[in-house]
Amino acid sequence: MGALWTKIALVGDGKVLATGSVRSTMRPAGPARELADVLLGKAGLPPGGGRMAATGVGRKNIPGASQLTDLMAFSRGARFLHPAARLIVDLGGQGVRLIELESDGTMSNFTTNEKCSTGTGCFLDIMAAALGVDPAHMGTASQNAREPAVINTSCTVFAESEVVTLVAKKRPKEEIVAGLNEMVAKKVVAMINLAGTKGDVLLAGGVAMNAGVVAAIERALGRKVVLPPEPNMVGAVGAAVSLGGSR
Amino acid sequence: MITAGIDLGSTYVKGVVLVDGAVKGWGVQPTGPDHDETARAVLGSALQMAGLRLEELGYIVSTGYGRRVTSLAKETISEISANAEGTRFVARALGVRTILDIGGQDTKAIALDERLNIDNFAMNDKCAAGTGRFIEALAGVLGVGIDDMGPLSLKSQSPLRITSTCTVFARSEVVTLIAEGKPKEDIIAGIHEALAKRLATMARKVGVRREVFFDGGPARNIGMRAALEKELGVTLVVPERPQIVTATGAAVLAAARLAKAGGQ
Repeated sequence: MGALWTKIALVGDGKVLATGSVRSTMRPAGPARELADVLLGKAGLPPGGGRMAATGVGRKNIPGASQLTDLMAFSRGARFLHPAARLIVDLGGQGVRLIELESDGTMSNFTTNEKCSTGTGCFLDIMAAALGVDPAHMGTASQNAREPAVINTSCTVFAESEVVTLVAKKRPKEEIVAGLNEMVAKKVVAMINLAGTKGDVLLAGGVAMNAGVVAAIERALGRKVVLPPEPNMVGAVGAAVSLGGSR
Repeated sequence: MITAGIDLGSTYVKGVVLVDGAVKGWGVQPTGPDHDETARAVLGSALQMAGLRLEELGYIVSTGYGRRVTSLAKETISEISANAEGTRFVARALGVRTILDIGGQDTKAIALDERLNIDNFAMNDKCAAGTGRFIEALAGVLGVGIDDMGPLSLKSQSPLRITSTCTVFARSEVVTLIAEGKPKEDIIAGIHEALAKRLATMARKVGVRREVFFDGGPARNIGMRAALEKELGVTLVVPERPQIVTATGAAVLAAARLAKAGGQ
Protein backbone atom coordinates (compact mmCIF):
# COMPACT_ATOMS: atom_id res chain seq x y z
CA MET A 1 0.00 0.00 0.00
CA GLY A 2 1.96 2.92 -1.30
CA ALA A 3 1.26 6.61 -0.87
CA LEU A 4 -0.36 6.83 -4.29
CA TRP A 5 -1.14 3.26 -5.40
CA THR A 6 -2.12 0.03 -3.72
CA LYS A 7 -0.49 -2.87 -5.52
CA ILE A 8 -1.48 -6.51 -5.14
CA ALA A 9 0.49 -9.54 -6.29
CA LEU A 10 -0.91 -13.06 -6.17
CA VAL A 11 1.88 -15.56 -5.67
CA GLY A 12 1.51 -19.35 -5.65
CA ASP A 13 3.72 -22.32 -6.31
CA GLY A 14 6.77 -20.07 -6.45
CA LYS A 15 5.33 -17.98 -9.28
CA VAL A 16 3.65 -14.61 -9.63
CA LEU A 17 0.16 -15.64 -10.78
CA ALA A 18 -1.53 -12.25 -11.20
CA THR A 19 -1.04 -8.61 -10.31
CA GLY A 20 -3.16 -5.49 -10.18
CA SER A 21 -3.28 -2.00 -8.71
CA VAL A 22 -5.80 0.57 -7.48
CA ARG A 23 -5.39 4.15 -6.29
CA SER A 24 -4.74 4.34 -2.54
CA THR A 25 -7.62 5.87 -0.60
CA MET A 26 -8.30 6.70 3.03
CA ARG A 27 -10.37 3.52 3.42
CA PRO A 28 -8.37 0.98 1.43
CA ALA A 29 -9.55 -2.36 2.88
CA GLY A 30 -12.63 -2.75 0.64
CA PRO A 31 -10.98 -1.92 -2.69
CA ALA A 32 -7.95 -4.06 -1.79
CA ARG A 33 -10.09 -7.11 -0.99
CA GLU A 34 -12.13 -6.59 -4.18
CA LEU A 35 -8.98 -6.46 -6.27
CA ALA A 36 -7.55 -9.52 -4.52
CA ASP A 37 -10.71 -11.45 -5.43
CA VAL A 38 -10.46 -10.31 -9.06
CA LEU A 39 -6.88 -11.58 -9.15
CA LEU A 40 -7.90 -14.89 -7.57
CA GLY A 41 -10.56 -15.21 -10.27
CA LYS A 42 -7.96 -14.55 -12.97
CA ALA A 43 -5.87 -17.37 -11.55
CA GLY A 44 -8.95 -19.64 -11.54
CA LEU A 45 -9.24 -19.63 -7.75
CA PRO A 46 -12.32 -18.97 -5.57
CA PRO A 47 -12.72 -15.48 -4.03
CA GLY A 48 -11.91 -14.87 -0.38
CA GLY A 49 -9.20 -17.49 -0.32
CA GLY A 50 -5.50 -17.36 0.23
CA ARG A 51 -3.44 -15.60 2.87
CA MET A 52 -2.52 -11.95 2.73
CA ALA A 53 0.49 -9.96 3.85
CA ALA A 54 0.56 -6.17 3.65
CA THR A 55 3.38 -3.66 3.43
CA GLY A 56 3.76 0.05 2.69
CA VAL A 57 2.48 3.15 4.50
CA GLY A 58 -1.10 1.92 4.66
CA ARG A 59 -0.34 -1.68 5.69
CA LYS A 60 -2.15 -1.38 9.04
CA ASN A 61 -5.44 -0.72 7.25
CA ILE A 62 -5.84 -4.20 5.82
CA PRO A 63 -7.63 -6.38 8.38
CA GLY A 64 -6.53 -9.98 8.55
CA ALA A 65 -3.27 -9.40 6.73
CA SER A 66 0.06 -10.04 8.37
CA GLN A 67 2.29 -7.01 8.22
CA LEU A 68 5.87 -6.48 7.23
CA THR A 69 7.99 -3.39 6.79
CA ASP A 70 8.67 -1.92 3.38
CA LEU A 71 12.34 -2.78 3.73
CA MET A 72 11.60 -6.43 4.40
CA ALA A 73 9.10 -6.60 1.57
CA PHE A 74 11.43 -5.04 -0.99
CA SER A 75 14.36 -7.21 0.09
CA ARG A 76 12.25 -10.36 -0.21
CA GLY A 77 10.66 -9.29 -3.48
CA ALA A 78 13.92 -8.30 -5.12
CA ARG A 79 15.60 -11.52 -4.06
CA PHE A 80 12.67 -13.55 -5.39
CA LEU A 81 12.67 -11.76 -8.76
CA HIS A 82 16.43 -11.42 -9.19
CA PRO A 83 18.58 -13.27 -6.65
CA ALA A 84 21.78 -11.46 -7.74
CA ALA A 85 20.36 -8.02 -6.83
CA ARG A 86 22.66 -6.21 -4.40
CA LEU A 87 21.10 -2.77 -4.49
CA ILE A 88 17.37 -2.08 -4.71
CA VAL A 89 16.44 1.39 -5.88
CA ASP A 90 12.78 2.00 -5.09
CA LEU A 91 11.46 4.94 -7.08
CA GLY A 92 8.21 5.49 -5.23
CA GLY A 93 5.39 7.97 -5.41
CA GLN A 94 6.60 10.04 -2.47
CA GLY A 95 10.20 9.05 -1.96
CA VAL A 96 13.32 7.36 -3.24
CA ARG A 97 14.72 4.50 -1.17
CA LEU A 98 17.90 2.54 -1.56
CA ILE A 99 18.31 -0.86 0.08
CA GLU A 100 21.70 -2.57 -0.01
CA LEU A 101 21.72 -6.36 0.22
CA GLU A 102 24.42 -8.87 1.15
CA SER A 103 24.95 -11.80 -1.18
CA ASP A 104 22.74 -13.92 1.08
CA GLY A 105 19.88 -11.42 0.75
CA THR A 106 20.16 -9.81 4.20
CA MET A 107 19.90 -6.05 4.32
CA SER A 108 23.16 -4.23 5.01
CA ASN A 109 22.29 -0.59 4.54
CA PHE A 110 19.41 1.71 3.79
CA THR A 111 19.11 5.30 2.57
CA THR A 112 16.01 7.28 1.89
CA ASN A 113 14.82 10.64 0.78
CA GLU A 114 11.25 11.19 1.78
CA LYS A 115 11.56 14.85 2.74
CA CYS A 116 11.67 16.30 -0.75
CA SER A 117 9.35 15.44 -3.62
CA THR A 118 11.88 16.12 -6.38
CA GLY A 119 12.52 13.00 -8.40
CA THR A 120 9.53 11.08 -7.02
CA GLY A 121 6.44 9.78 -8.80
CA CYS A 122 4.59 12.74 -7.40
CA PHE A 123 7.08 15.06 -9.12
CA LEU A 124 6.51 13.39 -12.50
CA ASP A 125 2.71 13.41 -12.03
CA ILE A 126 2.74 17.16 -11.32
CA MET A 127 4.91 17.83 -14.38
CA ALA A 128 2.69 15.61 -16.54
CA ALA A 129 -0.31 17.66 -15.45
CA ALA A 130 1.51 20.92 -16.19
CA LEU A 131 2.40 19.62 -19.64
CA GLY A 132 -0.97 18.06 -20.36
CA VAL A 133 0.70 14.68 -20.90
CA ASP A 134 -0.77 11.41 -19.59
CA PRO A 135 1.46 10.45 -16.60
CA ALA A 136 1.71 6.92 -18.02
CA HIS A 137 3.23 8.33 -21.20
CA MET A 138 6.01 10.38 -19.58
CA GLY A 139 8.53 7.64 -20.38
CA THR A 140 7.76 7.43 -24.06
CA ALA A 141 6.97 11.13 -24.57
CA SER A 142 10.69 11.92 -24.49
CA GLN A 143 11.64 9.40 -27.20
CA ASN A 144 11.85 11.86 -30.08
CA ALA A 145 13.52 14.67 -28.16
CA ARG A 146 16.42 16.17 -30.05
CA GLU A 147 17.87 17.88 -27.02
CA PRO A 148 16.61 17.66 -23.43
CA ALA A 149 15.48 21.00 -22.02
CA VAL A 150 17.59 22.15 -19.09
CA ILE A 151 15.51 22.57 -15.93
CA ASN A 152 17.46 24.94 -13.67
CA THR A 153 15.56 24.57 -10.41
CA SER A 154 15.40 21.35 -8.48
CA CYS A 155 12.38 22.08 -6.27
CA THR A 156 9.16 20.53 -7.64
CA VAL A 157 7.22 23.74 -7.05
CA PHE A 158 9.77 25.93 -8.85
CA ALA A 159 10.35 23.38 -11.62
CA GLU A 160 6.60 23.36 -12.28
CA SER A 161 6.73 27.12 -12.95
CA GLU A 162 9.77 26.59 -15.13
CA VAL A 163 7.93 23.94 -17.16
CA VAL A 164 4.97 26.28 -17.60
CA THR A 165 7.36 28.98 -18.85
CA LEU A 166 9.04 26.54 -21.27
CA VAL A 167 5.62 25.55 -22.64
CA ALA A 168 4.75 29.23 -23.09
CA LYS A 169 8.03 29.67 -24.97
CA LYS A 170 6.92 26.86 -27.32
CA ARG A 171 9.70 24.48 -26.34
CA PRO A 172 8.69 21.06 -27.75
CA LYS A 173 7.02 18.94 -25.08
CA GLU A 174 9.23 15.93 -25.76
CA GLU A 175 12.30 18.00 -24.97
CA ILE A 176 10.79 19.23 -21.70
CA VAL A 177 9.83 15.67 -20.74
CA ALA A 178 13.35 14.50 -21.63
CA GLY A 179 14.77 17.25 -19.40
CA LEU A 180 12.52 16.20 -16.51
CA ASN A 181 13.42 12.52 -16.90
CA GLU A 182 17.11 13.51 -16.87
CA MET A 183 16.52 15.53 -13.72
CA VAL A 184 14.94 12.57 -11.93
CA ALA A 185 17.79 10.31 -13.08
CA LYS A 186 20.41 12.77 -11.88
CA LYS A 187 18.97 12.88 -8.40
CA VAL A 188 18.62 9.08 -8.21
CA VAL A 189 22.13 8.44 -9.55
CA ALA A 190 23.60 10.87 -7.02
CA MET A 191 21.99 8.73 -4.31
CA ILE A 192 23.21 5.49 -5.93
CA ASN A 193 26.76 6.82 -6.14
CA LEU A 194 26.65 7.77 -2.47
CA ALA A 195 25.51 4.28 -1.52
CA GLY A 196 28.05 2.60 -3.83
CA THR A 197 27.25 -0.53 -5.77
CA LYS A 198 28.81 -3.93 -5.36
CA GLY A 199 26.61 -5.87 -7.74
CA ASP A 200 23.38 -5.80 -9.71
CA VAL A 201 21.19 -2.73 -9.29
CA LEU A 202 17.48 -3.54 -9.39
CA LEU A 203 14.99 -0.77 -10.03
CA ALA A 204 11.62 -0.94 -8.32
CA GLY A 205 8.63 1.34 -7.89
CA GLY A 206 6.24 2.96 -10.31
CA VAL A 207 8.75 5.49 -11.65
CA ALA A 208 10.86 2.56 -12.91
CA MET A 209 8.05 1.95 -15.41
CA ASN A 210 9.12 5.19 -17.09
CA ALA A 211 11.48 4.08 -19.86
CA GLY A 212 12.90 7.60 -20.25
CA VAL A 213 13.97 7.74 -16.59
CA VAL A 214 15.44 4.23 -16.73
CA ALA A 215 17.47 5.03 -19.86
CA ALA A 216 18.71 8.28 -18.29
CA ILE A 217 19.70 6.42 -15.11
CA GLU A 218 21.69 3.90 -17.16
CA ARG A 219 23.40 6.68 -19.10
CA ALA A 220 24.34 8.62 -15.97
CA LEU A 221 25.40 5.46 -14.14
CA GLY A 222 27.37 4.14 -17.11
CA ARG A 223 25.99 0.63 -16.71
CA LYS A 224 22.88 -1.48 -17.18
CA VAL A 225 20.36 -1.92 -14.40
CA VAL A 226 18.00 -4.84 -13.74
CA LEU A 227 14.39 -3.99 -14.50
CA PRO A 228 11.81 -6.53 -13.32
CA PRO A 229 8.80 -7.03 -15.65
CA GLU A 230 6.58 -5.13 -13.19
CA PRO A 231 8.84 -2.85 -11.12
CA ASN A 232 5.86 -1.43 -9.19
CA MET A 233 5.07 -4.92 -7.83
CA VAL A 234 8.38 -5.65 -6.08
CA GLY A 235 7.06 -4.77 -2.61
CA ALA A 236 3.78 -6.62 -3.10
CA VAL A 237 5.57 -9.72 -4.42
CA GLY A 238 7.92 -9.56 -1.43
CA ALA A 239 4.96 -9.41 0.96
CA ALA A 240 3.42 -12.47 -0.69
CA VAL A 241 6.69 -14.34 -0.71
CA SER A 242 7.13 -13.65 3.01
CA LEU A 243 4.14 -15.91 3.70
CA GLY A 244 6.03 -18.88 2.40
CA GLY A 245 5.57 -18.54 -1.32
CA SER A 246 3.40 -21.64 -1.80
CA ARG A 247 -0.16 -22.39 -0.80
CA MET B 1 16.58 64.93 -6.69
CA ILE B 2 14.14 62.44 -8.20
CA THR B 3 15.05 58.76 -8.57
CA ALA B 4 13.30 55.40 -8.80
CA GLY B 5 13.95 51.81 -7.74
CA ILE B 6 12.30 48.81 -9.37
CA ASP B 7 12.30 45.40 -7.72
CA LEU B 8 11.45 42.70 -10.26
CA GLY B 9 10.56 39.77 -8.04
CA SER B 10 9.43 36.30 -9.02
CA THR B 11 5.86 36.95 -7.91
CA TYR B 12 5.46 40.75 -7.75
CA VAL B 13 7.14 43.74 -9.35
CA LYS B 14 7.52 46.69 -6.99
CA GLY B 15 8.49 50.27 -7.82
CA VAL B 16 9.32 53.28 -5.65
CA VAL B 17 9.79 56.95 -6.55
CA LEU B 18 12.05 58.89 -4.20
CA VAL B 19 11.98 62.68 -4.11
CA ASP B 20 14.67 64.44 -2.04
CA GLY B 21 15.01 61.58 0.40
CA ALA B 22 11.31 60.83 0.81
CA VAL B 23 9.17 58.08 -0.74
CA LYS B 24 6.56 59.95 -2.79
CA GLY B 25 5.06 57.15 -4.82
CA TRP B 26 5.02 53.39 -5.12
CA GLY B 27 3.43 50.65 -7.14
CA VAL B 28 3.01 46.88 -6.85
CA GLN B 29 1.79 44.45 -9.53
CA PRO B 30 1.88 40.69 -9.99
CA THR B 31 4.77 39.65 -12.24
CA GLY B 32 3.42 39.10 -15.74
CA PRO B 33 4.91 37.15 -18.63
CA ASP B 34 6.65 40.31 -19.87
CA HIS B 35 8.87 41.70 -17.08
CA ASP B 36 9.71 44.92 -18.86
CA GLU B 37 6.07 45.69 -19.52
CA THR B 38 5.13 45.02 -15.87
CA ALA B 39 8.06 47.17 -14.69
CA ARG B 40 6.87 50.07 -16.87
CA ALA B 41 3.31 49.75 -15.56
CA VAL B 42 4.50 49.65 -11.92
CA LEU B 43 6.76 52.66 -12.40
CA GLY B 44 3.88 54.42 -14.14
CA SER B 45 1.60 54.05 -11.13
CA ALA B 46 4.39 55.08 -8.72
CA LEU B 47 5.01 58.21 -10.81
CA GLN B 48 1.32 58.97 -10.96
CA MET B 49 1.09 58.82 -7.18
CA ALA B 50 4.05 61.17 -6.92
CA GLY B 51 2.56 63.46 -9.59
CA LEU B 52 5.65 63.13 -11.78
CA ARG B 53 6.54 62.10 -15.31
CA LEU B 54 9.09 59.50 -16.46
CA GLU B 55 11.31 62.23 -17.96
CA GLU B 56 11.71 63.83 -14.54
CA LEU B 57 13.50 60.78 -13.11
CA GLY B 58 17.21 61.44 -12.75
CA TYR B 59 18.32 57.83 -12.31
CA ILE B 60 16.67 54.40 -12.11
CA VAL B 61 18.17 51.31 -10.47
CA SER B 62 16.62 47.86 -10.78
CA THR B 63 16.94 44.87 -8.47
CA GLY B 64 15.35 41.48 -7.94
CA TYR B 65 15.73 38.30 -9.93
CA GLY B 66 14.39 39.91 -13.12
CA ARG B 67 16.51 43.05 -12.74
CA ARG B 68 18.41 42.56 -15.98
CA VAL B 69 15.39 42.26 -18.24
CA THR B 70 14.09 45.80 -17.92
CA SER B 71 15.45 48.47 -20.26
CA LEU B 72 14.31 51.21 -17.86
CA ALA B 73 17.17 50.97 -15.40
CA LYS B 74 20.62 52.44 -15.89
CA GLU B 75 22.10 50.14 -13.27
CA THR B 76 21.29 46.91 -11.46
CA ILE B 77 21.95 45.93 -7.86
CA SER B 78 21.61 42.59 -6.03
CA GLU B 79 18.52 42.07 -3.86
CA ILE B 80 20.70 41.56 -0.80
CA SER B 81 22.36 44.99 -1.18
CA ALA B 82 19.09 46.66 -2.13
CA ASN B 83 17.27 45.14 0.81
CA ALA B 84 19.97 46.19 3.29
CA GLU B 85 19.93 49.69 1.78
CA GLY B 86 16.14 49.84 2.06
CA THR B 87 16.23 48.61 5.66
CA ARG B 88 18.78 51.30 6.59
CA PHE B 89 16.47 53.86 5.01
CA VAL B 90 13.15 52.81 6.59
CA ALA B 91 14.49 51.70 9.99
CA ARG B 92 17.56 53.88 10.33
CA ALA B 93 17.46 54.58 14.06
CA LEU B 94 15.90 51.32 15.25
CA GLY B 95 19.06 49.33 15.83
CA VAL B 96 18.34 46.59 13.29
CA ARG B 97 21.03 43.87 13.20
CA THR B 98 19.18 41.03 11.48
CA ILE B 99 16.93 41.18 8.43
CA LEU B 100 14.54 38.45 7.37
CA ASP B 101 13.20 39.07 3.91
CA ILE B 102 10.73 36.54 2.54
CA GLY B 103 10.05 36.66 -1.14
CA GLY B 104 7.74 34.73 -3.40
CA GLN B 105 10.45 32.27 -4.39
CA ASP B 106 13.36 32.99 -2.12
CA THR B 107 14.21 33.97 1.40
CA LYS B 108 17.14 35.93 2.74
CA ALA B 109 18.57 36.33 6.20
CA ILE B 110 21.01 39.22 6.43
CA ALA B 111 23.22 40.06 9.41
CA LEU B 112 24.23 43.71 9.77
CA ASP B 113 27.15 45.06 11.79
CA GLU B 114 26.95 48.06 14.16
CA ARG B 115 27.29 50.45 11.25
CA LEU B 116 24.47 48.62 9.45
CA ASN B 117 26.77 47.23 6.79
CA ILE B 118 26.19 43.68 5.57
CA ASP B 119 28.14 41.28 7.74
CA ASN B 120 26.86 37.99 6.45
CA PHE B 121 23.84 36.55 4.69
CA ALA B 122 22.09 33.29 3.89
CA MET B 123 19.70 32.68 1.06
CA ASN B 124 17.30 29.94 0.09
CA ASP B 125 16.12 29.87 -3.49
CA LYS B 126 16.39 26.12 -3.90
CA CYS B 127 13.36 24.87 -2.02
CA ALA B 128 9.87 26.37 -1.94
CA ALA B 129 9.29 25.19 1.63
CA GLY B 130 11.01 28.21 3.17
CA THR B 131 9.50 30.87 0.93
CA GLY B 132 6.25 32.74 0.39
CA ARG B 133 5.34 30.10 -2.17
CA PHE B 134 4.72 27.66 0.69
CA ILE B 135 1.89 29.79 2.10
CA GLU B 136 0.58 30.62 -1.37
CA ALA B 137 0.38 26.96 -2.41
CA LEU B 138 -1.38 25.91 0.78
CA ALA B 139 -3.75 28.89 0.75
CA GLY B 140 -4.77 27.65 -2.70
CA VAL B 141 -5.60 24.19 -1.33
CA LEU B 142 -7.63 25.74 1.49
CA GLY B 143 -9.44 28.08 -0.88
CA VAL B 144 -8.44 31.03 1.31
CA GLY B 145 -7.24 34.33 -0.15
CA ILE B 146 -3.62 35.11 0.71
CA ASP B 147 -4.65 38.27 2.57
CA ASP B 148 -7.12 36.34 4.76
CA MET B 149 -4.54 33.81 5.97
CA GLY B 150 -3.17 36.05 8.74
CA PRO B 151 -6.45 37.17 10.35
CA LEU B 152 -7.91 33.64 10.18
CA SER B 153 -4.90 32.02 11.84
CA LEU B 154 -5.10 34.38 14.81
CA LYS B 155 -8.43 32.74 15.75
CA SER B 156 -6.69 29.41 16.28
CA GLN B 157 -6.47 28.02 19.80
CA SER B 158 -4.42 24.95 18.89
CA PRO B 159 -2.36 25.09 15.72
CA LEU B 160 -2.01 21.75 13.94
CA ARG B 161 1.43 20.43 13.15
CA ILE B 162 2.33 20.17 9.47
CA THR B 163 4.86 17.34 9.47
CA SER B 164 5.96 17.43 5.81
CA THR B 165 8.88 19.58 4.83
CA CYS B 166 8.23 19.59 1.10
CA THR B 167 5.52 21.96 -0.14
CA VAL B 168 4.09 19.24 -2.39
CA PHE B 169 3.76 16.77 0.49
CA ALA B 170 2.41 19.51 2.77
CA ARG B 171 -0.28 20.10 0.15
CA SER B 172 -1.44 16.46 0.45
CA GLU B 173 -1.22 16.74 4.21
CA VAL B 174 -3.50 19.80 4.20
CA VAL B 175 -5.96 18.01 1.89
CA THR B 176 -6.09 15.17 4.43
CA LEU B 177 -6.58 17.60 7.35
CA ILE B 178 -9.46 19.25 5.49
CA ALA B 179 -10.99 15.83 4.77
CA GLU B 180 -10.73 14.99 8.48
CA GLY B 181 -12.79 18.09 9.21
CA LYS B 182 -10.04 19.97 11.07
CA PRO B 183 -10.77 23.70 11.58
CA LYS B 184 -9.29 25.89 8.88
CA GLU B 185 -7.80 28.37 11.35
CA ASP B 186 -5.84 25.59 13.09
CA ILE B 187 -4.50 24.36 9.75
CA ILE B 188 -3.49 27.89 8.73
CA ALA B 189 -1.80 28.56 12.07
CA GLY B 190 0.09 25.29 11.57
CA ILE B 191 1.20 26.42 8.12
CA HIS B 192 2.57 29.66 9.56
CA GLU B 193 4.36 27.79 12.32
CA ALA B 194 5.92 25.38 9.83
CA LEU B 195 7.28 28.26 7.74
CA ALA B 196 8.39 30.14 10.86
CA LYS B 197 10.44 27.11 11.94
CA ARG B 198 12.23 27.00 8.59
CA LEU B 199 12.87 30.74 8.61
CA ALA B 200 14.20 30.60 12.15
CA THR B 201 16.63 27.83 11.20
CA MET B 202 17.91 29.99 8.38
CA ALA B 203 18.10 33.12 10.56
CA ARG B 204 20.15 31.21 13.13
CA LYS B 205 22.69 30.44 10.39
CA VAL B 206 23.64 34.11 10.22
CA GLY B 207 22.93 34.66 13.93
CA VAL B 208 19.82 36.30 15.33
CA ARG B 209 20.69 39.63 16.96
CA ARG B 210 18.14 42.23 17.91
CA GLU B 211 16.51 44.15 16.50
CA VAL B 212 15.12 41.76 13.91
CA PHE B 213 13.58 43.39 10.87
CA PHE B 214 10.97 41.42 8.91
CA ASP B 215 10.03 42.40 5.36
CA GLY B 216 8.86 41.07 2.02
CA GLY B 217 5.25 40.37 1.03
CA PRO B 218 4.60 37.67 3.68
CA ALA B 219 5.56 40.18 6.41
CA ARG B 220 2.15 41.74 5.75
CA ASN B 221 0.63 38.54 7.11
CA ILE B 222 -0.10 39.15 10.79
CA GLY B 223 -0.29 35.42 11.55
CA MET B 224 3.10 34.85 9.96
CA ARG B 225 4.54 37.66 12.08
CA ALA B 226 3.08 36.17 15.27
CA ALA B 227 4.41 32.69 14.46
CA LEU B 228 7.87 34.01 13.69
CA GLU B 229 7.95 36.12 16.87
CA LYS B 230 6.99 33.07 18.90
CA GLU B 231 9.61 30.91 17.20
CA LEU B 232 12.45 33.44 17.55
CA GLY B 233 11.36 34.81 20.92
CA VAL B 234 11.73 38.42 19.80
CA THR B 235 9.45 41.27 18.84
CA LEU B 236 9.94 41.95 15.15
CA VAL B 237 10.37 45.33 13.55
CA VAL B 238 7.94 45.36 10.63
CA PRO B 239 7.89 48.36 8.31
CA GLU B 240 4.66 50.03 7.25
CA ARG B 241 4.99 48.68 3.70
CA PRO B 242 7.07 45.49 3.92
CA GLN B 243 6.72 44.70 0.22
CA ILE B 244 8.57 47.76 -1.08
CA VAL B 245 11.66 47.85 1.16
CA THR B 246 13.94 46.37 -1.52
CA ALA B 247 12.61 48.70 -4.24
CA THR B 248 13.11 51.62 -1.82
CA GLY B 249 16.72 50.52 -1.34
CA ALA B 250 17.25 50.57 -5.11
CA ALA B 251 15.78 54.11 -5.29
CA VAL B 252 18.03 55.26 -2.42
CA LEU B 253 21.05 53.84 -4.21
CA ALA B 254 19.95 55.60 -7.40
CA ALA B 255 19.89 58.89 -5.47
CA ALA B 256 23.40 58.25 -4.14
CA ARG B 257 24.65 57.60 -7.67
CA LEU B 258 23.00 60.73 -8.96
CA ALA B 259 24.45 62.84 -6.12
CA LYS B 260 27.92 61.45 -6.82
CA ALA B 261 27.55 62.33 -10.49
CA GLY B 262 26.59 65.87 -9.44
CA GLY B 263 23.06 65.63 -10.82
CA GLN B 264 19.91 66.72 -9.09
